Amino acid sequence: MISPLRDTVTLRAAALEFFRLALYEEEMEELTRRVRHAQNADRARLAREPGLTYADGYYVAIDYLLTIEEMKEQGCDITFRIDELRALAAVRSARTEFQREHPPCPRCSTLNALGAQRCRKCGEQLIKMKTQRMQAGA
Amino acid sequence: MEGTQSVLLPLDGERAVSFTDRGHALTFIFRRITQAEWLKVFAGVCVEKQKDGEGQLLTLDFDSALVSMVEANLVRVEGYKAKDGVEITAIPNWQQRIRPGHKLLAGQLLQSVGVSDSDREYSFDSEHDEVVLDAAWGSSTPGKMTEYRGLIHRFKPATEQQYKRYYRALSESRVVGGSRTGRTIYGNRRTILIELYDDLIAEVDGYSIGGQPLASREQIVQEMDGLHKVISIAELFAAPDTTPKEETAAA
Repeated sequence: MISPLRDTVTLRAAALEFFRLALYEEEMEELTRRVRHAQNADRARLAREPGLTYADGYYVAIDYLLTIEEMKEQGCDITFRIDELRALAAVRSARTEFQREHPPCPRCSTLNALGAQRCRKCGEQLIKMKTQRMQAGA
Repeated sequence: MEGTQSVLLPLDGERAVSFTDRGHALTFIFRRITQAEWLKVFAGVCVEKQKDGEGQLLTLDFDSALVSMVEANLVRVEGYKAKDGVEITAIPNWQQRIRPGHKLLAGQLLQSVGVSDSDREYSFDSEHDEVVLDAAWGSSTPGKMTEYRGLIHRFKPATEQQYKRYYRALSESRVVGGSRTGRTIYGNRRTILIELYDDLIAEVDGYSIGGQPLASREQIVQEMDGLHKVISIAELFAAPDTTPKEETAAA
């Protein structure tokens, strides 16, 4: 029998999936708004919603940890148990990895996949084109 | 229901539930259902989730423990016709011979309590947070339950640490059978809700012991029905119901 709060290795992996899924859902909301005019590739993405990999208890535990983290950040007078501190460290580590994978747009702060050429929200160019760099270097 | 009572809900003494089956009234009389008995029921409630293909399979079992509690606390029944001159209660282990559907319904009637649906204005009280319940409790007419409305529970404001305890109780679970394919078994949050109730309750209105209103916090903690504790404290922590009244009624 596993306590999700104490299984920090799986909890970290589930948290990474949790953050990715949250971003995916945000993207899907945007896509759904545009679905009437969506291209085939977008329609295929809509139909391919990812399932969750781990048992439900891990995601419930992550939701709890994010709730108490937010309470603490807002100045609530709460104390954490040792298992919560370790679990929270695992979730924060997953968030750091997620943020590395999804750097914010310098103009509007929207998270974009690492390597994306343009911001998915404001269209800001995120990666300078190779040709532009070559021209600049010439 | 046989009408709303303006008298106090008697927490002590025997407790009847009554219903009809095909027009025939049946009444089950229980000894007082103690908090220990409710805790046994809560401990027996099973909520499990398991991955099932692309989706999740949710398994709920509220009934097994409830039927066991009914059998353990049933003192007598009224309305069953004697066969060959033998009353049902004269049969050994007669509680187990009663139809499962009747026992289940009796158990469900013992749980007839909920947040009041009456239109109330929320007034600000700097000292207390108020929760109002309605309950069906007891029966004086065969086939009908007596309804009590406006049962008030007043709580001291919860601390931030108590909110955290509540959220933790909601999230407690165990995973059996592996982290990927395993079943998630949710914890028994009702026990923690009762602890929170005992910590936070200040006053109640509408209940009695020995015909007298509950007078002190200590008396409330000791005498209040376990299920009424759970329902009222859960409502205290619950997110507001923002569903428009018309939609609720139509649902």
